[in-house]
Amino acid sequence: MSSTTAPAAIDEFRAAVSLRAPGVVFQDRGERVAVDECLPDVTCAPSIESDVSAILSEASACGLSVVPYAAGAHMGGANVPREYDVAMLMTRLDRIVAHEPADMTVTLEAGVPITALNATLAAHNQFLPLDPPAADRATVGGVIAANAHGPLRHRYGTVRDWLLGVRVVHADGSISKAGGRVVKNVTGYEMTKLYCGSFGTLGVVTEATLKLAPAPPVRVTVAAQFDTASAAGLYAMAAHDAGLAIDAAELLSPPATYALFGEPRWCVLARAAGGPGAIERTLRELRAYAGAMRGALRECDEATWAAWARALEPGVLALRASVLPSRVAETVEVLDRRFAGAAALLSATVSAGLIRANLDPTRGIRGGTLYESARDVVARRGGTVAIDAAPASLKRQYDVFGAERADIAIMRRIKQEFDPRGTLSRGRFAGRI
Amino acid sequence: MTSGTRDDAPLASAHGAAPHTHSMAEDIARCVHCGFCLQACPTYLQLGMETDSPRGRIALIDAVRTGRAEPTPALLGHLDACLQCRACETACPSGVAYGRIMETARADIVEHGSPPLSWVLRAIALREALPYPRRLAALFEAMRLYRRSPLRRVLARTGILRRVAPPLARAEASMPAPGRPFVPPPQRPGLARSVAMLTGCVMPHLYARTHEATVRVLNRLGYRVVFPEGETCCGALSAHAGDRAFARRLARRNTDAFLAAGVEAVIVNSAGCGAAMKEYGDLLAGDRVYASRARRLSAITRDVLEFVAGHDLGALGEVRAVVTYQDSCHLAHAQRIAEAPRRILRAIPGVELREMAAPDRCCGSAGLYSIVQRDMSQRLLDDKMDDVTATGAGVVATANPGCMMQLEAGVAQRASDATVSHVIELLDAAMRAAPAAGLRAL
Amino acid sequence: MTMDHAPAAASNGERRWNPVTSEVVRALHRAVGRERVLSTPEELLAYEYDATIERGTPQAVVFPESTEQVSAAVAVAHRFGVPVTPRGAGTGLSGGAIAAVGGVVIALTRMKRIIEVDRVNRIAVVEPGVVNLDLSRAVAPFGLYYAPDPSSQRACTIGGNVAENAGGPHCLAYGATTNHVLGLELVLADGEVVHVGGRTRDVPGYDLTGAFVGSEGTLAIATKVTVRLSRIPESTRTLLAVFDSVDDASNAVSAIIAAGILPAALEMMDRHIIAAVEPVINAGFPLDADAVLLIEVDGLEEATTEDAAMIRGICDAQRAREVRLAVESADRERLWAGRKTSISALGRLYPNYYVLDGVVPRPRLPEVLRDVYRIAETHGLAVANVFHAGDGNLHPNLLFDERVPGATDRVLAAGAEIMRRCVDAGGSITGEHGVGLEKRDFIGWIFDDIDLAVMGKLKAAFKADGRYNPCKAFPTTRGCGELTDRVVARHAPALGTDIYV
Repeated sequence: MSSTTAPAAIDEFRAAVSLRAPGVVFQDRGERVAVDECLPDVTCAPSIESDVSAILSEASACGLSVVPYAAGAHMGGANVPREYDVAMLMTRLDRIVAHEPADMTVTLEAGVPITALNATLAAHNQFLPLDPPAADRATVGGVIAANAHGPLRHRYGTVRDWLLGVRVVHADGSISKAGGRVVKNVTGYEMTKLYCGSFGTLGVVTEATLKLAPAPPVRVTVAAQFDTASAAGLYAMAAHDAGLAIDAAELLSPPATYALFGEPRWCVLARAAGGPGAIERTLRELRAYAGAMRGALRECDEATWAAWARALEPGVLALRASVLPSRVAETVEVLDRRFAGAAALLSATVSAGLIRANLDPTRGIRGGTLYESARDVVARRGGTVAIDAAPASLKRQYDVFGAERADIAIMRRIKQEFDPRGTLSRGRFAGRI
Repeated sequence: MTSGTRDDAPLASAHGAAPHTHSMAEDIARCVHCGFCLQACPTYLQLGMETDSPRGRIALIDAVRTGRAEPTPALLGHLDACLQCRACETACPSGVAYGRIMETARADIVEHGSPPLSWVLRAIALREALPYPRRLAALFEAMRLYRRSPLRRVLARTGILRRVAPPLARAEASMPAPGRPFVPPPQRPGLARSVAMLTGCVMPHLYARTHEATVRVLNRLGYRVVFPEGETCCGALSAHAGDRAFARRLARRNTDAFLAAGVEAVIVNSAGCGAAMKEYGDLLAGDRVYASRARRLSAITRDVLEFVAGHDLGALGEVRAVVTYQDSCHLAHAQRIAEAPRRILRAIPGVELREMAAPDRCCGSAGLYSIVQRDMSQRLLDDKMDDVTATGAGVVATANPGCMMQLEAGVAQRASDATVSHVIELLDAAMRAAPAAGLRAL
Repeated sequence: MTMDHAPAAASNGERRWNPVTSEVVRALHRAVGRERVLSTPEELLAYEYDATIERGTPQAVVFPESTEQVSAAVAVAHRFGVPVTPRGAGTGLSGGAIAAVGGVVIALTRMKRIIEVDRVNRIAVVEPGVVNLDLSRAVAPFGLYYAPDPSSQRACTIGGNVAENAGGPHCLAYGATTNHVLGLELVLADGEVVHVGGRTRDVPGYDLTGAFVGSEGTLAIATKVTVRLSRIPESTRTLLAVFDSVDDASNAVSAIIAAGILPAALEMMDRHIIAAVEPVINAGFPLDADAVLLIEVDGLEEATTEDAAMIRGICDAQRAREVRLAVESADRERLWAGRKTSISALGRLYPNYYVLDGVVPRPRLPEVLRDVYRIAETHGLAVANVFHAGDGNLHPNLLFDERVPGATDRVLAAGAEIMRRCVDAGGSITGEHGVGLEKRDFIGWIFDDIDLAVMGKLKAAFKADGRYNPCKAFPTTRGCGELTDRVVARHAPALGTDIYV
């Protein structure tokens, strides 16, 4: 699949950018930056904000569509680009601008990988508590664009809760900032929230300031296995209700448990995190809850979470459902049944009402059937399903953001205001905005 | 207007009354309009309007004071709608003397402005009734006769009043039921200490039983109770209605009467009256002759529950009752006494105190309010009775005759079995039920 | 009828507003009922203020009782081109609810139903007029509470909290209003009703809920708010650390944060605040202390024990004269009552206060605080400080009597200087009160024209023009010229117009 843009426009764009921003590195179209099986006509790699500005303003002038691309970890979560003329590779913007350990904030460029950031922060006993699948590659900018998250969401929420300020390059190349560098700030609209999860359709975040969390002194991971989904769900809810010192708790379907532990049972993988006293109490209570639900609790090592991340990293078809916490266990159980035969791995953050499903539709069941089935199961329970990854053919058939809601009109107007020419990630957003 | 021989202070005067010792400007300047008072204000809770909130009323008063607004009927309507419960004072971090501001504003309008006819009539009615025991007695006797009369039964049976004049019908239904008037009872002999007690204007006719209970409790705690010659109505109703001149006159009479009694404390079992008497010092601050004497009286004035709670209550017998306590506004907010009544109730064996939601929110009685602002008063009573009913209490205890009347009306409207009592009556019952009480009874 | 209702267009195409005529009032009567409209001039004087020193008199106030009535009233204002100012309890500290250029105030105080509480999923759906503390009280029987706790929580409304993205002492650990709102029902400027967000955490599409919270009533009116509730922690410990110098106290704040402890709340009160509040509340703040810190930790019993011990050690090391621990709820409540009424209690000392809301990076706290005292002194003003030290959110209160000629000018000048100092330290002009009417002339210190233009795009997407809560949050709304003539505006350029980041 390739774009139909006239080569002349691309050449004109290249020439103009080279003139204005000689530091931009151009590459020819490559598999490396494929998005939904589409390849760009040209790939350019800016290394400073003004490069980004030059690229976007020239692309806009030439009527080209630009898709910002970093590690590519979360590219599947948006719709197929209507045109994909230019790939803008963000990974060279990888500097940590300022770390204020005493203020527990960090300002960095969008291309910094989360893992690299946390390695730097570890010396100060601080960390950015975001652990999306593919965290080893995922960049801060990518996580913001895709609103990506992992098990830590249980305690720490999502990137919107940690993002203090951004610098953004808009479709016309203009540069704006929003928020600030302090931990509390209500000056101006909360534009930062708008950019989280906008998949690069409103602007390209070049720099972000984030709040940091103190690293818990002790972490202990435990897995509790159960015979039924409801027992696992009750255990997870009980732990949540008791306010135990837990920073992650994932309910795993039997195939997911099998992938991690070699046993096909329902399981809750949880991590106690905090001071020694709080940890001891938390583990004691978890053991008691597990016993009450006739489950077996065992301690695991931290590497279990890396295994989780590998297992749940969006593959061929990945879905993400959002329901009320009280409906999670039941929904997971139904989905597990419906997905039988599709090698489905399910993992749910019960407290957030979030269910991840990693499926392989190659074994006879059509992806569309699986998606529709999940959508219906979840909709009947008052929730929504988004697609994290899917074959392009499926995504052309279904909007990855699900059915249009009443507020789509506001979203269309926002896109129209921010990017009237459709320069940024054309067609990628909800309603194929 | 009124006869000069009886009234040395005319209702309206070109020269004004005694100077306010607290400057209205300073009182108002204390309000930083933070809004912390809003949720304490019963009328704001009902209407959700600033115009009917403490902060808004202060703004309206200030607008009139500074000439930015005329005291139009619309504006005065909002001042009229104020219960003067002073719950906002308890809520106010800044210590704004809201009660004083409202009283002064009403007085200013009566004295200097052109008060609405209803205000004038109200003030005159109070002047003509309150200080005259015989007139009050005649009024209550008439009520008593009416309640027993065939006319009332006819009206009730035919429902004619409800059809012809619904407001009158509602008023009729909640008309108080006067009992036999209070006569000071014989007291236990040989009591060394003595306190004086305010008889007041309404209490002796409507709640003689409360007065009797008060005397018995005080006797039992070792006090002889004296009723000084010349005491009269406390003047609170007149002050609230903007007739400060007349309130001052009553205050002077009471100051003379009670100071002459030479007692260690003046006991008041009506929270509204107690609050007024504790503020005589303020009311008469501009009076060269009476200022210091009034302060002295204020200093020895005690609400009966406040006074009693400071004593060892001795052996108490059992009173089996689930009780909920309605704070009387002028006890909780004007006098800031909320704990004493509860302490007494908790001390009574057999009493289970069940707090209602917002016990310190006004029941809608507020002196004359229940008569002149019937609709709002009824709305407040309805909400109050919901809260009372939710407790399942069989006894509603309170500390002021107005509150008792209002709650009795509420209980009657709900056809509930609950009874309404002054806290002191419950304590009296407990004392009388004590094992040794029979031996020491008179 | 030949009258043209269309708003007069300004030369640059931006819309201006029309006055509220008797015809508009009649239309409002028809839309919501006569008894829900206030338009008598003398009554409107009760709607010219909020908790600031700003003033502005509306020409009509509407008291809708349902979404339909909000929509109907807003549609009338839209049709006639008159300004709309939404208002909750009017406890705001930035002038957000002030009818800056007249027009119609939509007072949401009668929409105070708690529509639904889902205890298992910890969600409540409320109308905007629900009072913050009333919500916490209503869900307390389920062991839940609504976490954002602005000091005015017993009077302020959820709708107002949403508009201002209100904070409070406990947002240090639990986040501000934005972290607790899941979904909204909105009435747009033309009366259209739209739902954004939802009940579940993730709703596909742009985060319109997040963008709306903190928009200061300039985008739309929220008529229903779906909020997250939090679980009442099993253990709460409150420490009162007493210091003989403000420097020591602010060093202790930095040391606690640097030690990796995130208390639920970390507040500072200086001696002037203590002098105002202690005689009223008797919370036990020593009158001779230079500063006290109120530090709260909550969570598991074991965790609060550990944290309280560490905090005590840090305070001792920073030369605390005394550290008291309150565990009983009555003792803690008294301390918090003292803290939360402290700004209002300043009315006992001076007739007026001007409360600032600057934020600085936490390590800069000691130096900026020193400058706050110095700036106030330079202007011959008393200043009292009570603030959210844990997140670097200062609340210097400049005390004055507006009846003294020139006093207000001096206060505004000092206020501007203090805000400038916060900005220069890498901070912000407002941490939780909002820009409102009060600080709009200073927003240029933080955001340049492009930044503001981007925000304007969001506003346009909500179909809200300058008629919607005019003169708030942005410096350049047309027709607010007479307001920019105020002293406060004259101080902004004097202190520099450069941008710090």
